Amino acid sequence: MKNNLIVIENGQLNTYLLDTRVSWEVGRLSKDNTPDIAMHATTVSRRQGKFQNMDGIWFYMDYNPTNRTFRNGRKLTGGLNGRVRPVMVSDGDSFMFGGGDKPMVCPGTVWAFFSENSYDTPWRAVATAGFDKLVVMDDEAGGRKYQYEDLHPGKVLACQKGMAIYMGDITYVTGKIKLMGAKRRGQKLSQ
Amino acid sequence: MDKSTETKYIKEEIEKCEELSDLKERILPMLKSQQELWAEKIRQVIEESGCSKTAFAKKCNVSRVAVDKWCKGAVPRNRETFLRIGLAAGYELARMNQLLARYGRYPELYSKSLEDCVCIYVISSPGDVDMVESYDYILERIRTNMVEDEIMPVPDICTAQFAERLAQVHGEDALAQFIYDNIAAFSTAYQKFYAYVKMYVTINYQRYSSSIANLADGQGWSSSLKQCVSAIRQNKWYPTRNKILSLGLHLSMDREQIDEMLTLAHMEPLCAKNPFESVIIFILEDASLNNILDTDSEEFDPDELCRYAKEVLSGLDLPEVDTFISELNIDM
Repeated sequence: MKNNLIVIENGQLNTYLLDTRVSWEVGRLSKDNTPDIAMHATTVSRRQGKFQNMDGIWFYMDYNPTNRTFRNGRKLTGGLNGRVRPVMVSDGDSFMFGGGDKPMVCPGTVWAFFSENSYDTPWRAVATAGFDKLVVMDDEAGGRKYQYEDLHPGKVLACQKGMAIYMGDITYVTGKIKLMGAKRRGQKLSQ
Repeated sequence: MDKSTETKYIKEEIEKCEELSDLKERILPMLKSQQELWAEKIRQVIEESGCSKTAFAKKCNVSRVAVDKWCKGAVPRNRETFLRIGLAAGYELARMNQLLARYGRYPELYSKSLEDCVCIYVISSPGDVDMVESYDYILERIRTNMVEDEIMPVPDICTAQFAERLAQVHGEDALAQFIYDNIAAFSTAYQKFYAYVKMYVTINYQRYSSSIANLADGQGWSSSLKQCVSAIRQNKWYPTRNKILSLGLHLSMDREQIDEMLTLAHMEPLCAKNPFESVIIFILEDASLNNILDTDSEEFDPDELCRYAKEVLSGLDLPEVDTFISELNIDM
């Protein structure tokens, strides 16, 4: 099992293999600040939070509740008397750093995904603008199909042999899987 | 009103309480104490078993006097006794879990704990043999033959899959082999709970004291709470509900964090229908809502929540309070 953090900001995807260190500072890159997981959005604080390992389990700690970090769509808040609230991170958790009061994938925010799965093939970007239904399937004879209709940016399309992350105009794909889809007007995608 | 609606209603009403007097006058009279519930339950268990009190005591490996005390509301002090009562009553899994969680306020059966694994096996393989005897015999046999110094890899398997595999085990030899194959998994039963507490302490208390021991000394923690924290650091503590609540108050955790600790220890979140816990919920809600802990304050007072909890609890006549309050060893 490998613990990865996949971070997407402004169309750029970066993967961090968390297990290579004990902790990872998260924040906005600036002249005097070089966080381990560097972001550029101005709504992200220079010291936003950190991922830290304790006895093999990963936690995320937000430094300041006004920073606006969301986990699985829920805003993270501080503990009593300014205490930091450790959030135990599980496979499939998504994070949104920065932005307004509601979680929204946009140029001002950074989306991240914690995954225990990693695949040998590099990530590739597939244009999916306008598609309202996507199907992922393992790229092998008799591979099982998984159909997704409730598409929204940040939707993870999981498969046995890989995964895809739908971000609207672009979907990022890794692993030995095929991505197929259909537009409302009948236009078809097969990749 | 069904039970879940009733619980939700009580929970909401506690959250609406602005004063302690509100809680005392409106909420507490609606709730039965744990002792009252337990006395009713054990009388029912003994009656259903068809045994005399003496015979039931023998089955549970306790004295007749102990059973008499149970019937008057004394709640057994350890989880093992609850397991024996459930086994003596011939309970199946769901009823055993209810007995543990609702009446004992202990974690439900957890397949990745050695004793629970054997208990689940015995419950799931009913025969003509006495279930308590069967449980004792198998557990003793496994413990005797266990090789402790061998390092085995921790199986990468979730609890649900582990429980499914256990359900496929038939026969004592197969169970012994299953336990041997998965021996490393039993040492990780509370790994997430330990990690959560350790992370919380590390992230929040490093700047105030060089170690949790210093914090404990500074706050005058009871020796039993100190022992529990020391055992957590060594990944050895067997979680008990009131100790978790006490730990949460000492570490100034909010309700969500205390619920998280309980969940990680395989227990239900704080229960609004238990009078004692309804007061704890009130304390935590009040602490959050009324800003008694000023989040902008630069002065750090690690005792504030404990002191407030002690003040509220001291004004109440609830059976659990005296024992619990001795844990909150804070000068008023």
